[in-house]
Amino acid sequence: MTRMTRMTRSLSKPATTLSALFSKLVLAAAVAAVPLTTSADSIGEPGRDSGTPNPLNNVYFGEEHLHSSASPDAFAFGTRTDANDAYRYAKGEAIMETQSGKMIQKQTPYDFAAVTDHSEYLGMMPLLLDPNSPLRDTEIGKLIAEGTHESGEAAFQQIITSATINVPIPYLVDPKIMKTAWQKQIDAANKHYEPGKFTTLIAYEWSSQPNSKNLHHNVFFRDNVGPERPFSSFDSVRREDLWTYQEYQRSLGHENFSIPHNSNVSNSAMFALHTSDGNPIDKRWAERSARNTPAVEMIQIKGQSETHPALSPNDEFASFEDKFVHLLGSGGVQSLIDTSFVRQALTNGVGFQEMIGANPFKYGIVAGSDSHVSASVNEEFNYTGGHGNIDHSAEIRLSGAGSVAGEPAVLFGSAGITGVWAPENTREAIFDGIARKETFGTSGPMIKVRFFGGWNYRDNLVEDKKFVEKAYKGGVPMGSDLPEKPKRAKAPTFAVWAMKDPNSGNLDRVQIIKGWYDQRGYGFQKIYDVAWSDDREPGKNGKLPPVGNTVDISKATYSNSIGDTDLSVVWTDPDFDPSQHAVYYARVIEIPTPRWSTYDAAELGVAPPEEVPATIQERAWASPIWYTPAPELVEKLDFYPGLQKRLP
Amino acid sequence: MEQLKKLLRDPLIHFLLIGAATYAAYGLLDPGADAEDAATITVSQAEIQSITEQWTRLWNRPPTKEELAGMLRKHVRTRILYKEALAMGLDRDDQVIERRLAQKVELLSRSLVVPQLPSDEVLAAWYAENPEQFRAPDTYTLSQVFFDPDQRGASTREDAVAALATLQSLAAMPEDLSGYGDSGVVGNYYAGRSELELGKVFGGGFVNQLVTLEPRRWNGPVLSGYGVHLVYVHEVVKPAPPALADIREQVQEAWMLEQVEERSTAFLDELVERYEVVVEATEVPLTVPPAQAGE
Repeated sequence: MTRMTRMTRSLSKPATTLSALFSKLVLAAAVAAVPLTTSADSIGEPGRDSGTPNPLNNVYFGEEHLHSSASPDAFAFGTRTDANDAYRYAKGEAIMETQSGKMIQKQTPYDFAAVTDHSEYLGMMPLLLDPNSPLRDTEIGKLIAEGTHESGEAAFQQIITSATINVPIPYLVDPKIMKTAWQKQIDAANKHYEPGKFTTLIAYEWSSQPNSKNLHHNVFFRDNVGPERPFSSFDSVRREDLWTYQEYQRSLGHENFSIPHNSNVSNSAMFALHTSDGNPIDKRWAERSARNTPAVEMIQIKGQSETHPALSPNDEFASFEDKFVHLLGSGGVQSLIDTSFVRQALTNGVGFQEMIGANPFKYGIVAGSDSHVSASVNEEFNYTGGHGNIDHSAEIRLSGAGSVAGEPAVLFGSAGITGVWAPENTREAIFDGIARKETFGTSGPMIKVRFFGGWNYRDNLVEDKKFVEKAYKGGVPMGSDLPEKPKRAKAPTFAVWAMKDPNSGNLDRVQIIKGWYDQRGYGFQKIYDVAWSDDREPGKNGKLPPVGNTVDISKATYSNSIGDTDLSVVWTDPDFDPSQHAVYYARVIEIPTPRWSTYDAAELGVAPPEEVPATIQERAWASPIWYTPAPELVEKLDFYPGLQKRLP
Repeated sequence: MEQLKKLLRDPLIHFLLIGAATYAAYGLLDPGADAEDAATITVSQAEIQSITEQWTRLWNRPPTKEELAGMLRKHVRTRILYKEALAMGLDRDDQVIERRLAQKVELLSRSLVVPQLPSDEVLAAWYAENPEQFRAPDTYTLSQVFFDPDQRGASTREDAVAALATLQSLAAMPEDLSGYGDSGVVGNYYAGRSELELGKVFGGGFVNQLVTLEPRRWNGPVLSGYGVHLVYVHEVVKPAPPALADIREQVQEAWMLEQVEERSTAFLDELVERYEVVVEATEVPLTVPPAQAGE
């Protein structure tokens, strides 16, 4: 393990000669109007301010999962703000939260956002309320027109029931009416797209949920026109059929990808070791999966999907925002853990690469909110709830009264966000950044992470002014395959650079997490602490001691007297075996800070809720880098117990 | 007739009427409530129906007899414990319950008045008086030097103050500031950046201090989430407010919100006036801020 310590530079004072002083005096008059200073950039973000597309890529933060009044369930939570409001909030404008009637606003705006309303009955609730809509003559339209509480309830009940049992009401999936509603979403995305300043993506959510197993995917488009209509779970609940739709749209010129989420409540379905029909995963299936779903959502308000303490007993950071455990709409059935989490899927993915020659779980990492109130609430200290009438005020959130699908409001986390490395802030550049997986997800703060892999990075690379340029030249960025191993190289080297969010806690540590398949056909994972703050020494068990905790729970405050502003390091895998397929991703951990529920409790002057921790360690996950051995190095097995034992 | 109209416009009367209506509706829905004495729990048909519906919503089928009995048992238990809690006075001195109920009244007060849409004249006049909140954020052109506490530890602030003296003594802006502080975290020069954009780079705390800095000279130390900065503001540009026609929708929303706020505040003020407030702590001069109720 290496740790990079930066040199303290002495404060140099420029000499002031008489002639230099004279020339400076002459210049002084012009200085105020035309500053002549050059910009010495952050070492991890060179060229950000050049004003032209940056070949070394800039980081852009944003939201890839957000619902507005066009989603029937959001409408039922009382949300009346639409996609336009959602984009305005993301840009930093204040919008009115429907249920509290209060103006809400982000402290730090996003660079991009995609509103992803459910494609099932997308936009139908607002249309049913519109007296001029043709839907007014339908059975449900008439019930709503009656205007009584009971008739409204009856109307909504019909809609929710049909969505739950996945049998559509014919006039609510009428292609003509659907197209009108879908076009509104496209128009909102295009209206708020300001190339160079703020990017939107045309997108929606395919909400497949057979037997309450969450298989939801968000679908995103690269162009400004988008598809004729979205694909819904009424069309099919099988992901193979979603891929067929995606491939068809691609053939029409609508380049797209989909991103699965909430594998944590998929009841083992999201990363199952077999297809929807129960057949073994073959090479073609794996390739279609990798092509159509290049990224996975690591965290959102319904919990994180990285891993579970049962799957990662040696990971002291595994239990994080993991209290949301029940299958949606199941009436309290706990989701199965096996094949429901990303780390295990990434590991099984490299096993498949060895077994069938393709990796079905080759995901980059993103994160989002899944908020249903048009507001992406990633700021822990500025949390205003994600489900309208059940969590719009601190009192309601802590009262335990409201619930979504049986889960009390306090178990929901704040939103995650996505960081994309891209040359500029345009729809194409952001889309391409996610498609090539040069992304990271965070649990909310705007932590910045660079992660590179190569075969011969020098130990002091991260101190070099040209760190980023040399890292690209000598290797690959996050989301890529390591180049072929040079004969003389002993082990891969990885360069990580992480910078804190100036509005959040300092950084505790950087870890690299490795997953691999061994010669007996089993998957393994190991966590390496690679850079950390405050001159700590790992203990006898090899574990780095905790960074400490400065949180004053009753006041919901903390101090940045522990932790570091930035951490960076070049790390070499000490356990590398060139014959084993492997995957590496980086995790950056903040010092402990108050959870939103602790801020709420301090505001109300009560004790924080007992169901959740009072303090959390926010974090970022950088997309993986994969190692695939040359074929002559691998001895393939006849049977892979890690991948084949659980076939039905 | 005029008097009645005036009466109906009065928010307080309105509120009491709504309160009465809510109470009446509750009585209708829950006929058991009146009949109940201290030791009786009556479960009404309406409640049974509502419980059945909740179950059906969750499971897509009506509950079996046993399941319904289980739900009812749970319901009755909750009702009994609730009654006991009330009898024991557990609802008093509970801040969460107090605040929740206060907030319910506040929300109710906001829904009392839905203002009419404003005429063009009204809106234009109001916008002319309140242009500030619709103005785009100020943009700054600034140079800065950063001092990193990770590297300098306890002397960070001292180092910054020393460098400030040096920089202030210079006749002109050095072309290269990289020799003055620590590089690698943030850049030295930002041209024409809005407060929002600067917030993305330096954080909210840093940006809030910019307005206090004297332009065209070195200021500091200024603190951010990263550490200590010295800042030279070359120029601040305050954009003109946009034309009303371009942001009519937003202005109208803000106007409506203000109307609702005003009516709600007036109502809550009136409510507070009906009380005599006695504060026993003599050393604290206290006026009750009515609009703060429930916040």
